[in-house]
Amino acid sequence: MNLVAGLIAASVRHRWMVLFLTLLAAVGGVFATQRMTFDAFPDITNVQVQILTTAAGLGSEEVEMLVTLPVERSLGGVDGITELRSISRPGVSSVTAVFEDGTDRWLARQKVKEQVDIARGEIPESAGTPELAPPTTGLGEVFQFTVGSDSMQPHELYRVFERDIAPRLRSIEGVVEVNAWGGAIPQVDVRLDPYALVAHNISMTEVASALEDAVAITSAGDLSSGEERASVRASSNPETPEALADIVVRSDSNGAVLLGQLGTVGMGGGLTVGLGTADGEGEVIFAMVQLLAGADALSVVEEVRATLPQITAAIPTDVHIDPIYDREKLVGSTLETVSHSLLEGALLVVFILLLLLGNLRAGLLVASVIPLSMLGAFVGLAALGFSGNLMSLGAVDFGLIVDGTIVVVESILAMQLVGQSHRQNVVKTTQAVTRPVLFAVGILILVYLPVLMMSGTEGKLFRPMAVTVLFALVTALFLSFTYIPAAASLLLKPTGEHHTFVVRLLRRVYDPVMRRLQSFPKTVASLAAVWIVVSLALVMTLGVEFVPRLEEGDLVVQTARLPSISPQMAAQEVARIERILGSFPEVERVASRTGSPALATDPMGLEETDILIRLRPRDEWQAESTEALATAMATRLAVDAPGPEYTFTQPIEMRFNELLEGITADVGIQIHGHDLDELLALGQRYAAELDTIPGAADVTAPTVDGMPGVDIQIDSMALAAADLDAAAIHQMVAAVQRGVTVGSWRRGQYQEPIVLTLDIRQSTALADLPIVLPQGGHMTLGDVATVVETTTPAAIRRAGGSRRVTVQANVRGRDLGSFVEEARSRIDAVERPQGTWISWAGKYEQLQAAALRTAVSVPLVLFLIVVVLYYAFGAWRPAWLIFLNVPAAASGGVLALVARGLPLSMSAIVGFIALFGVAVMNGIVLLSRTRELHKNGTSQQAAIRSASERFRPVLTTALVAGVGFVPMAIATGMGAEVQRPLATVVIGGLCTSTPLTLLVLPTLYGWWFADEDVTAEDAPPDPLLPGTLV
Amino acid sequence: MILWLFLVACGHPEAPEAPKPSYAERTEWSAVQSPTTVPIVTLPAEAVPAPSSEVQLAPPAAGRILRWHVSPGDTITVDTPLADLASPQLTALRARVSTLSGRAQQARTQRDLMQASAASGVVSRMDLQAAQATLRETESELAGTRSELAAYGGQSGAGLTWTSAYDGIVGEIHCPVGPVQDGVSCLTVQRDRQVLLEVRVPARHLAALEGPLRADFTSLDGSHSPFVEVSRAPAIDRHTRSLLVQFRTQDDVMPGAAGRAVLSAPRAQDLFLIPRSALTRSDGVPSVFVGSADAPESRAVQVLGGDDASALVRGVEATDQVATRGVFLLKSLMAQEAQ
Repeated sequence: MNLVAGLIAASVRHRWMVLFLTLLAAVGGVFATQRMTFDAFPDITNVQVQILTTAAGLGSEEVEMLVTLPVERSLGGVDGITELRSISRPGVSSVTAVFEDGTDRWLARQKVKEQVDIARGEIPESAGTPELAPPTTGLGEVFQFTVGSDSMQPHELYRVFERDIAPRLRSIEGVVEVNAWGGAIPQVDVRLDPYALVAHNISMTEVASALEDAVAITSAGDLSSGEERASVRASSNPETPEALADIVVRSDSNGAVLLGQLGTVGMGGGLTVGLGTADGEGEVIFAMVQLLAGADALSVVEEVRATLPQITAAIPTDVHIDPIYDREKLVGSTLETVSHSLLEGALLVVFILLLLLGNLRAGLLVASVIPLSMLGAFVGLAALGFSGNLMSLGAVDFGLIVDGTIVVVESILAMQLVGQSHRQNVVKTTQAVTRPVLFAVGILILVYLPVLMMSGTEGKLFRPMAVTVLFALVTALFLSFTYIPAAASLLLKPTGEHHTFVVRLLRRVYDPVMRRLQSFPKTVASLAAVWIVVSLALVMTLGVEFVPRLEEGDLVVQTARLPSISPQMAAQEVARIERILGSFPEVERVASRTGSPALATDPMGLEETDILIRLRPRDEWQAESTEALATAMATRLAVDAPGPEYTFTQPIEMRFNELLEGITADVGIQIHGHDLDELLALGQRYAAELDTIPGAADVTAPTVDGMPGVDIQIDSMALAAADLDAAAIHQMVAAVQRGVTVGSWRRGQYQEPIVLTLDIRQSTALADLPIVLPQGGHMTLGDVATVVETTTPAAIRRAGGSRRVTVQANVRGRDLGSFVEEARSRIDAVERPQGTWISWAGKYEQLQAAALRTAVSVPLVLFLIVVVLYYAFGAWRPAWLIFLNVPAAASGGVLALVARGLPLSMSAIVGFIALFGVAVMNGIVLLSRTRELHKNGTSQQAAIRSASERFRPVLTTALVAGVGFVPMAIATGMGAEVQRPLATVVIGGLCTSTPLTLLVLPTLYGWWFADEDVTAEDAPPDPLLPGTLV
Repeated sequence: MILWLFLVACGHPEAPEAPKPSYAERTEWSAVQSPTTVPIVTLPAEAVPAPSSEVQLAPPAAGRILRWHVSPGDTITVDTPLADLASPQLTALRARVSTLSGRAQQARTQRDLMQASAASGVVSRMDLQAAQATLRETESELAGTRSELAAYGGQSGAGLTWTSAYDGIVGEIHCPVGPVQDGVSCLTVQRDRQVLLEVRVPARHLAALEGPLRADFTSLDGSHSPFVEVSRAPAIDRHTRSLLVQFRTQDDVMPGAAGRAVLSAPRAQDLFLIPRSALTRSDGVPSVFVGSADAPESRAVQVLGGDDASALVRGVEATDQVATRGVFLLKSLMAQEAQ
């Protein structure tokens, strides 16, 4: 206290210096703010490193065996990995290593990279090269656009994209990758007619060898001549496909056989694992600008938007770039909502201050602390690496922040001049309120501790908010003891016990009521108890929502089909859906991405499509809400585009779900093993078992969609008899669709591969594919191999080093703990095949952990509050009396939620925490004075007098805290859904806790503390300055 | 409260029933086909000349081929110039004709003198007869040599134009420009344009290819010709595990033409042709949707062959309609129903 007292005195003594330093700090804060990053929401992605491999043409089992397993094995011993999971799909492998929260992202990447470099040696060249996914997060997809052309082929468009568009965007600071769905990597397609090969008795190997020789470059080193030298090289690089078609494959006495006689040569595109479509008009390239983890979304998007016109000017005129998703829209709208709420809240606070204090200067002085404390919060956020977003900035209540300041300014305004200088009076008055202000703000800080202790997703969402509030509170507190007394000594003139018209009017009602209630303490106590019990009982009627769904302003429709769908059919069907969605008046544009991007950051199969819907501004809508719009779309799609399964989500929400890939049900049994059929069968048995347990709902057995396949099993005996080698057969099979790369030709600084494929008709049975024999003549593939039609899994998921399937169930009408206990014993009783094991997961883990944390942290904090109150008052009874404000405040919050039909969510719980802080603070403000006065009289006298004296500060702090939240409570803009429950709880809670503080508390004090009454002769003189409010 | 009572009394208004999706517009159906012959398999094929119709031509004389006037595939008639030859044999013949002409002239003069003398009785009748015999021998030898020379064609000097003695199509030319031996076959002429199509049929297909087969041949240049089976080899080739089957056509097909042939056989009663677009796979086995858009039914089939457009299947009925468009949609809906 002495330290603070000294600080106050010094601040007033050097007031100009303090004001100058405050200004300087503000300027510094403004600069720090400019270094701050802004985004719409906090990043809830865990620290993970993805290892991606694209192996177009390989089936899921081959991908798992050739790529996923070596990568997984290499990561086995990496320190800090908490989860290692993978998914193998046709053509794509994705291994995700999740590290402990708090691990440095770059260190994690470094560790993974070292191991993956080792794994590369085990992976065949034809199975692709594993690469680390770009260091981005769930918020990374900041700008998405389509690249289309009316005249270009997909491979020509891709060439433009890769040469002229992507590199320009990748060079923008903060952009880590520009990833694309669709288009096709340009290549020279040599499509050999297998019947022409037979006719000319030429094998594929012979063609491949001729091509390799025909397109080559050889360096001969330097040729020295006298004092100089010249490098020598030989090259053959046909200029056109026609020139390549003229190369001689074989020449003998019968003449020459040219490549063109064996098939066709032309430019084409490589196999794709993804497709892009837009506006129902067919294929385009769907491109996505990905943000570097930690970079500023807003500035990056701005630069991307500025760069696009320059790019457009430099590419062919019939190539058009059309944005489909722009994070600026969301960030801008969210920040606008937040700014509006904050600005309106600040203005309302100033207005309330004017109304209750009746002094413009005092109001403005308090108001000036708002931006200064926010600058302090910005500096803190920037220093800790948090971004400015809806959660970190959207829940700041200026009323709450400046409560301490209000008490200081109010006391200075109301101080009586006692003959000392104005400066000394200011110092003494401020020093006198130091203790209650410190305790009050200390309690506010204390109540935010459980928020800081949150972990998991809710921690990532709400911790930044708590950090913001704490930094702002600490800044405001510091300013209240430095800047405020310094400025007040210059600006404020004390007005003594001057009350504004509003306060006088309210007191005219309040004083008689409060005095009257003193006569009926038991009735008041009973009524208060009944009120609290009844309203708290209403909690049971509230719905529960973990975190409110954040409105992003755009929609995503995810579709899932049968995995056997062909790329052409997929494109055709998606275009159909796009046309349907595009016909809604609320929709501005529709574009889709099917399958995986070139760098498979999102490993989807061709059967899966994300349809991104860019919505028009809300005021142009016919639908009442996003939910109504989604329902209308779903209904229309079910009728006009039946077949796929539709899921409506939002861009960021979808990405978070993909990256976190958690089990969404209450309970999940993960079954691990090696034989997928065995796992699926066991999954079915477990699901049946769970279904019989009381309370089980939505039990889902594991399914793995099958993908038709053709298995060619080579018969080595038959090969030997035909004098063939297996390599030739493998080469031939590879050429059926994927192709065999036999070199590349050079086009300026780029190279384009030459790929041999067999020109096979759709109808050709693979078993009848002719093979040229080395000694002449031919056989069919079916003569040297068995061709079997099979079904392979469309996706193989692995975790913990083995294949994994999951059984999920929700629990209704029963507590989760007992359900899990029963389920465990029942499942353990089911016999498991050797080599399989299970692990339990699901939301119940999160909920149990959250419940455990809450069970520890909330009572701890409540206990700490009581301890602080005890320390403030030196006795337990006043501490517990003030503590009554907590349930009283909670009752109002619950009623407000019920009245507005809002569910109980983490957002509302954070609101309760803030509310408890304000409620307890008001109790301190009132009871600190009551205790002082009690020393000079009876408990009832003290209660009545203190209530009368503290009416204005209590009402002021409660009103400004409540009114500060009003804009958030009624906001409807983007992001308002997160602020709404929080603000509603605080406003509702203050509506009940303030009357309790002002009416019930004095009544109860007069009744319960009568035994502490002292006689007049024992009474010491009143230590406080007469007329001082606090 | 009043409002609540009102709502309770009235009940909730019936929600309008969502229209049911219609699949009729998104599917197409066609009847299964039951032709007399059905395509079974597509295999490499080569047109070869029929053995009896082929004539091997050797140059009329040993020497040197200077230039070919024809190339494989050219149609030729009798006396069509085939090639220019330079031949030492021809030079020798010409010299002999010249010698024999001189000797014949000399013998004729001698005979005339002796004939005049014989009238005056100076020369005996026997001497005259001897002179006449000499003349006849010489003239006969000259005529033979001239005839031999005439066989090379109308040529002059040391060169020779080799002309065809047959009508037909030039097949293979075996002798490049350059020296050539006497009696070596240098040119194949397909006299009556008859070719055979040879197809090596893998043994595993033979069971399905009973009865007289037809072959629809598509050459590498894209021309199509129908063939009918004329013979099968007596045994399977052990090395290639295939049986050589030969077909004949009435069309004008170039010997040596290669390409692919779709082999068709008489249809068994339980086999039918369906469009390839009707085929899908359910539960890992080939299947089709039969019935109608309102009541589609998935039916497993066995695929036994087909061509580019059609598949030969067992498992459908002659009266069935199969879905040929919207098959994936029907399959998706069925999968959703199963879930």
